[in-house]
Amino acid sequence: MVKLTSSDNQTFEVERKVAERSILTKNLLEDVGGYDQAIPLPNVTGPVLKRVLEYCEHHKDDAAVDAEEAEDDYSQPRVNEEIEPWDRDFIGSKQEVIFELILAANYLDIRSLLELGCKVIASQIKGKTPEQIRETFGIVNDFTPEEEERVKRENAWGEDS
Amino acid sequence: MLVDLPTEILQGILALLEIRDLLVMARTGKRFRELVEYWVQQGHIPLRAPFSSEEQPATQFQYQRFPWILARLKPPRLLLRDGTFLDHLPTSAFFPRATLAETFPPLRTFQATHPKYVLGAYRNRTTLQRPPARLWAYLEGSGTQEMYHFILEGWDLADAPFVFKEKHSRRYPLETLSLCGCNLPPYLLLDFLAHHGRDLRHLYLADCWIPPSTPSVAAAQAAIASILLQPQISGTLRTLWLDPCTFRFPNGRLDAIISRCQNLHELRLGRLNGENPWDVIQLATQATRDLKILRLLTNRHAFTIFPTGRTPLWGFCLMVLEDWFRFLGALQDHFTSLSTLHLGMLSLPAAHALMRALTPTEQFAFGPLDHLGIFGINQVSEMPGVEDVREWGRYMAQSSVRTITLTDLPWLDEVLLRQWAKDLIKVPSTLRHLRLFGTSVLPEKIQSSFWSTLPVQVIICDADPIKN
Repeated sequence: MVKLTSSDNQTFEVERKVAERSILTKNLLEDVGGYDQAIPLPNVTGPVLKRVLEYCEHHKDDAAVDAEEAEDDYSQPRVNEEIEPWDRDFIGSKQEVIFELILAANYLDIRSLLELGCKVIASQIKGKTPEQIRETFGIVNDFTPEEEERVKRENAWGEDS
Repeated sequence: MLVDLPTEILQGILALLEIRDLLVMARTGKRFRELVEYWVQQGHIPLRAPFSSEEQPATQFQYQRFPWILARLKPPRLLLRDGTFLDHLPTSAFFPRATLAETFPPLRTFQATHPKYVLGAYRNRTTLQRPPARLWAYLEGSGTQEMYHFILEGWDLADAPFVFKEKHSRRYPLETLSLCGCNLPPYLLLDFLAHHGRDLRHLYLADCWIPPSTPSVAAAQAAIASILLQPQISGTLRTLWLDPCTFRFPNGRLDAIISRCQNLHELRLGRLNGENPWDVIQLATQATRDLKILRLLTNRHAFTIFPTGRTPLWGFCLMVLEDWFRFLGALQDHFTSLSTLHLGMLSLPAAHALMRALTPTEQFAFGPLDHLGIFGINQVSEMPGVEDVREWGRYMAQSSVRTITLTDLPWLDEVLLRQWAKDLIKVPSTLRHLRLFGTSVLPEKIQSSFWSTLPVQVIICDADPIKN
């Protein structure tokens, strides 16, 4: 078993293969050959870490992903893969939660979770107008009217197709 | 907030979007405009690194987490339209060379065109810029051994390192070489052709300049001519663009080169300037078997509206009418295969003869010509006779041409144009586009319902016809 401590000092005890879904902790565990003390994860809060571990628990038996494989996998982009139903239910649609999970996955180097978060955000962008996207994600329109018109004109080729 | 996510994550999200959604994202705000800028520009998806110069310290490690970014960065061609972007090219300082070769597959097309270069209209060589030094480093260091198409246009290559020499670089299986608009040392071209020209099919050397400081220009040009005369080059060329007045080959060599290019599909001789091009043209039309595109353009082919101080003697204006008819006669062998014919600066009688040749009954009638362009109609002596020019509408209506481009027509007013239009209505015609540049007609004058019902789209324009 492996102990993980969040930024707000909550400690979670999980199976090693659950913890090793994170390349960060996997490398750490391999480097030291075992870890009796709790591994500090100062960039992740307790509630977020709890959810991340829930994800890792569900996927603990998936094919292992090691760092070298991740580096060599340029030729197999996963953009067209469907999102599994469990993953879709897990990540939900609340933006703040998704952003927190993305940031945690980025820090912990959990590629599948990172991709999942990015896919969900991308799916919330697809097919919308600029105004709808601004409204959905709270983006401030900082173009001047002239700049906005110019950008619109320049991009017309793609939007019409 | 979405905008607060780190750049590499935002790029990861953008990489999942289709082009349409990427462009929409670019319209949401400046942050996303900047991010998308690296992905999409001017209708292309060039090889654009998803990072700005400030972000370059971001390590390769970050992008390894986003394999789809690197997957998207694998276009079959490297297209650089922004010279400054060359400074952002990932070179060995950013990606280790081995990784670079793996990440970017063998480059098949390299195109770096100066953003201000326009074919035929960029003639001020003093403003030419040198390519950023990283371009050469990139060509040296990246996986270019499979390069088939090399396009480097609108640059000052006077001080270019000789990266193309055999001892420095691999031999490219080059099919296309374009150095249009470049200040081009002859020896650079010589090296390029000598080492990489074995499989050359398309050679574009329009608007080229030779640096005045070049030593032994004549000797270098003789050497270039010798290479072009080699059967393995001249015999296989499909496309040849040359500036005869730049490449002043030794006497008879240009004729010889063209006469050996028997498989040419496209010939463009630019900047025919005051020299009688008749011999060359005659050779070209006689030697080639399947010429489809012929462009014979003068120094002034990029048109000028109502030019002042125009010197009347250019290109075909030198031809006496007898020579002109010989030219049309020589072309006749190609009438059935020609799809494009562009001619620069005709005298009015020559233009009139050419327009008459559009009619099926005319002795020199054209076959299924797709595009006829007359770039400049010279008024040597007098305004054209109205009766003659009025007939042009009838000729055009009876022709089998789909697009006609005429430039420098200050005598063409609304009354005459309307006459042409009436003739175009009378006969079912294949003509779909009539493009007129440098007329006396204001574009807003042809926006009435009469013009909108014409079967032909009449375009009055002041832009450069060459680039349209």
